[in-house]
Amino acid sequence: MIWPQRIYLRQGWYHHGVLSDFLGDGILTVDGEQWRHQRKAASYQFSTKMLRDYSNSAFKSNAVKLAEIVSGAAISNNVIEMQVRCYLVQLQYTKQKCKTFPLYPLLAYWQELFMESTLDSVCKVILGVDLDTVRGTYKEGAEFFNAFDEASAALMYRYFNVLWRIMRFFNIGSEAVLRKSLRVTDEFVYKLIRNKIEQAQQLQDNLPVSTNTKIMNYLLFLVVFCIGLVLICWQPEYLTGDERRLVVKVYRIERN
Amino acid sequence: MKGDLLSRFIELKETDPKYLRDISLSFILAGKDTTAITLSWFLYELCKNSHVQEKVAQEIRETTNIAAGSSIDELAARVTQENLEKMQYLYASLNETLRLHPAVPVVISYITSLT
Repeated sequence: MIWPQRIYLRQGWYHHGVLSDFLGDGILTVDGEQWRHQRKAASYQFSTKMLRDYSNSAFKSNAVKLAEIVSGAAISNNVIEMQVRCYLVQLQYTKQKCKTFPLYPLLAYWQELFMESTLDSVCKVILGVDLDTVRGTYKEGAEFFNAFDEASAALMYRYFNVLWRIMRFFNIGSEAVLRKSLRVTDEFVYKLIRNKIEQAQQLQDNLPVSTNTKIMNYLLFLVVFCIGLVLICWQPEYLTGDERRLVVKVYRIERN
Repeated sequence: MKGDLLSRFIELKETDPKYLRDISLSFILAGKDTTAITLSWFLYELCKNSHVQEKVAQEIRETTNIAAGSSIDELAARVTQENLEKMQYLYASLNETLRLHPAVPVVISYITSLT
């Protein structure tokens, strides 16, 4: 069998139809040139250099926050929810007799914390904003978290609910929730984008391009161009016999 | 410091707010739930297999060379890229979690043509 040289993959119109209300023309729903464009920029974002310089610190600071919350809750025991869980932990502890602290009863609590923590990390890496939903100090961030969760749940429900287009038309049930949540997430993200673009433009306006740097750039270009020209044209293999002999002679004289 | 994906796209002269929104929301959706669910499953598996839990904790203690009773910040300072690369058992157990409980169990793209 001849192995095909190229396999054309598509995400297709079906998923685009279901997901486009929320994700629009994002990387999960588009094909072809747009997909390649986003993929290329994203691969730079997740390169080793960027991970080391930027993303790692974002992930780490959020992990520290998470650890502080958990250890704080474990020490103080003042929340009723935590008390119940700690009782369960003790039960588990006597049953299992393992050395490290058993985590099992805390899992439901952890999943919620993980959801908040990963949203914080991802938002820092993608949008460049610190939502701090783990601690809940930023009100808009907490609203965004809730709206985002509801929207993605309603979106996934569409895959099991064949009548979703009708429900969307009449704006009832999960579709009504989705529409409301989308308004919140959109507003939040659009505001951020507007700020970012304005910042970028201001930065561009303030950047002075002096004639000095222009001349320097031109000179640099000339030098690089000349060196390139010499490197390309200077190929001793293509010299005529006499010239080659001359080069060899000069070379020997210089060596002696 | 500017290093987020949104700034990157704006640097690339992409100024359509709708398109930028689509990109950022897609990446947030792709990064958030998958990571959180995998981490939850990881903890679940650690609870079920306490010997693995013990080994993971032991490996972290050894690689970071941290004394008992140290604070979280001390530990965080020791967790560097180089140290993370040394934690092979942790890496393997995370991979095993992904094998047992894949966060994205289906690939939605399909083949349209072969040439």
